[in-house]
Amino acid sequence: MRNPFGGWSVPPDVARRDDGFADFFTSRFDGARRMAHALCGNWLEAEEIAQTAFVSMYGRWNKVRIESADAYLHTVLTRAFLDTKRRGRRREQVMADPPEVVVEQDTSSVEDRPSLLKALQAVPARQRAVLVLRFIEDLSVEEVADTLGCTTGTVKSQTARGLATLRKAYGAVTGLLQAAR
Amino acid sequence: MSSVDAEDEKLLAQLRAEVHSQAPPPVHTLLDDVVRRGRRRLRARRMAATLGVVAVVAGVGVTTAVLRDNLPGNQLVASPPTSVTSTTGLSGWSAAAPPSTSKRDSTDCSNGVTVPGEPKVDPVDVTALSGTLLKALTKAAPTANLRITRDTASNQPISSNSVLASTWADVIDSGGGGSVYVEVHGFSGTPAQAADSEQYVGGVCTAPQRKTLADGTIMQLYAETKYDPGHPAQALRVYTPAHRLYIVTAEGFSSADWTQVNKDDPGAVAVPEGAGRHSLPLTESQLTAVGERIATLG
Repeated sequence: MRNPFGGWSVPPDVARRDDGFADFFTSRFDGARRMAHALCGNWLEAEEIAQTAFVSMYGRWNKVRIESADAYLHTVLTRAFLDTKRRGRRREQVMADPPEVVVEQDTSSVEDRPSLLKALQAVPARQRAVLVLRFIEDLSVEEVADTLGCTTGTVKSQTARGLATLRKAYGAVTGLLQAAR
Repeated sequence: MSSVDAEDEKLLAQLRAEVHSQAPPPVHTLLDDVVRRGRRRLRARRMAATLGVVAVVAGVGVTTAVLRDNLPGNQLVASPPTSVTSTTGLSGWSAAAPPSTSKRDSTDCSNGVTVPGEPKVDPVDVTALSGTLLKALTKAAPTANLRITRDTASNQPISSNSVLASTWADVIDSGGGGSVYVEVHGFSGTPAQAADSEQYVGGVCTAPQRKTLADGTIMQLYAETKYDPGHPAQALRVYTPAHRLYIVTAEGFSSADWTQVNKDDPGAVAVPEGAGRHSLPLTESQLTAVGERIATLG
């Protein structure tokens, strides 16, 4: 069985690859979308980031070992997210510098409780990626370093800075500034 | 880790709980969309690699010729021009001339990125797109049973490679069930530059047929391809002056041929090998008529 993707010639090795990729896509897409949502805070954008990551994975699928496929997905997904932030920054160059921490009040939730997920969006993109990989995806410091292509020392320092910004942003929402910490 | 204390742990536990309690909206991404885009990127990469080799070989050839030409008493016989075979008998269409530049982007030539500048990625009115497709098909194939089976739209496209919108229509006639798929992208540069950069986007080194409309829209018709005898396909690329690219593909299968891959994921569908009507649902003249109508969307 193969997929209906528009009618260009498909060699047998590609057809085999598609079968394995289809299984991987089916079992992982929703999780990838959730991780992307934690990163960007928007479901539409999250879906597109996840889609971009899987498109990228498809191109390399014959080189991806199944046991390392999840790690590779983390890498391409994080890269896709950081790319969107880079592009966004380029478009926003003409605007005035934003305040250091901007947190909108979450009005979409039926609960009055302030949203930590919203506060997370105030954390700079790379630090946010470290926090999501480390504490939402539960990766080790070494695994995060591999994913981001940096040293474990960088991961640790980005974690500390990211947490500080998160605390500050959440404090701005709750009115409980934890400046003493 | 030393930087995470008990207070942080509490905060992070709360964050985790909030992330996991999120109820996501339904998934709109279909497996075939991802594979389609992935395959295009793969082809572009392979083509870029091939072109690199060709460029090196050509460079060596030119150097040799120049050196030989400079030798006294040496006269080279000019090679005859390469003829391009027409794939269509449509009037007003001619084979696209090879691109004047050999410079190509190595990452993805499927979306006009070889042309400088950022492609237009404004949202598309998919309802208007589906409506126009249906009207165009009704006019081009009046005896066929037609219906829109699926459409998608990206309200916040994030990359130049984004599919801004897509729509799929079944075209069922006495020959069986076929379909027409329209995908919308943005491109930068002029329609001619974008069309030049995507002449061989399918990985087939046969020049497509080209027609320029009065408003400057360029339509590029590719030869029929058969990756599966059950469902051949033919693509028409329409580049409008408004920097929209419409990829209109006639397919030899309909939505009835789609099989669900995973019962838990309605979006994961596939077409079994050999399934389909074994022919295209539209002639070239019908496909180009549909393309011309879609071009009016701008």
